[in-house]
Amino acid sequence: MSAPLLEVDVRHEIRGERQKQANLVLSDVSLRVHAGEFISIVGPSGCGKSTLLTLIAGLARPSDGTIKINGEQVTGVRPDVGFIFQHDALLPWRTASENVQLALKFRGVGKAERRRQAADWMDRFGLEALHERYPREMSGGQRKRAAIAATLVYEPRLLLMDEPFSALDVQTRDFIETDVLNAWSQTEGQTAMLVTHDLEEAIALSDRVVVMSQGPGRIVSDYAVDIPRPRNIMDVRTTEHFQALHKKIWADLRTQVLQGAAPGKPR
Amino acid sequence: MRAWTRGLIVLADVATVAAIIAIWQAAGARTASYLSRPSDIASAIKVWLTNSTLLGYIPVTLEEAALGMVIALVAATVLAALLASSSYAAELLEPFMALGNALPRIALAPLFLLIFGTELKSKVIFVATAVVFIPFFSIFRALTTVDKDILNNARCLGARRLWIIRDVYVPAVTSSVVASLRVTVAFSLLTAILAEYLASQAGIGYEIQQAQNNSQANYAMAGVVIIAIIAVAIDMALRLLERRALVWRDPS
Repeated sequence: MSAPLLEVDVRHEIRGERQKQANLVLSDVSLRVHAGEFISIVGPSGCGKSTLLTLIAGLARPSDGTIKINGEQVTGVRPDVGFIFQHDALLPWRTASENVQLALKFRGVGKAERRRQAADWMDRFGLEALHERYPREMSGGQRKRAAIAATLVYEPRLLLMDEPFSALDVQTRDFIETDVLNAWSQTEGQTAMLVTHDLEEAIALSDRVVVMSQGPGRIVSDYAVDIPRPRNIMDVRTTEHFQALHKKIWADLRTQVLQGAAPGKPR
Repeated sequence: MRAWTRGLIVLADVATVAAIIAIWQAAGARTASYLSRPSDIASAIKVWLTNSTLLGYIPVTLEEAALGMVIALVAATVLAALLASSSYAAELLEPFMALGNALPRIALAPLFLLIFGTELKSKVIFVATAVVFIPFFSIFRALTTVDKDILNNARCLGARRLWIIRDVYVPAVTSSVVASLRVTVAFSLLTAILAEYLASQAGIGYEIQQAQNNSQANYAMAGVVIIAIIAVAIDMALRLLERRALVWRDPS
């Protein structure tokens, strides 16, 4: 197999402005992700999985170790990486269409071409009637779709997602996940990395599920999800194979969650 | 709000004003010696209109207020940007800003007159220093409370520093300035008139002061009424502007 697209070897601590003692967030995390993979990271809350994602995105620097994308060390935000946030981060003073065009504008794409591409992605995410809406005039699901379209419009090679679906109701979530999965499968080898606390979601979408420990986080186990694609994420959950996998990974995850919840354990 | 409810509210406003004027006028027979009746005030305004005192003085006051306000807005933006971009500057200067804000700046008006004279320059400087704190604190707040996710999202989408200023900070500041503009404008007008009242050769405040010196209560009240009319007109215009400029915000 060729060299991995993403190579992570980090240890990360955070020191608050007036804190003397640094707080260890990630104890040694090593991870290799190959081009075209869809990988999910699950773990108890506070395990540092979101922090790991911001490090990969280049939004923060790890205190120790290296992160490489395509063999190049990450030193800041890269134009070939996309990040979908948990809370919608659309510009409230821009319409949906203007928000989706932003990344193209930052890349110097002309107005007409920008509009055309944005319209194309808005169509794919069911936003064709909402071009002129401001974020406050849209539902939570519509805003999430717009945020996803705004990131996919520049076709990032590595797509990072930080619990993007956690604030949505179940039906909306299923539909948006399906759209994201379809969009991903139509790309030429886009790599997707999803951080979630929802194991079902992780299995249904991914090729690989990585379990992280209670914080300070490290990787506990790494499971391959050998469910054939294309998948129907609503039907796939009822299959026996899915449930066996779920049971196996959940046993691991549960241990981590319980350890964190155990009384008397210093955090 | 439906059109007819809005119409009803305007009607109620007009009726209230009419009622107050009518009661005032009726009661005026007893109080005319110390409180002018609306009819007296109206005739005083008429005199001003015919000898064009008004047309000469309103622009004087508006010019002082407007120039002072523009300087205050620019200074507030520069100061807020400086303090927001450097935590050292913020820690160093914020106590002074709080002190300046808490000082009874209006009481310092005589000092300004002594230092800068009684010309336009003096009024403008007084208005600017008195008003600057209102936009400063709202801009500083807007700059320091910009949503982290929005900032990071813009960065991930590929925004460089200049783009972030243009697309994130400027709109955030603009909206806070527009939202506090009504207070800023009202306070600018007030301080300009106050400065005129204390020492000047022209303006509405000067006119009120002259009338009081000559025991012409009608003219003093006429000046107050003119100010009220101007203030309400400007406020209505600003509300329209606010609704247009902040169309993306929740209706408040």
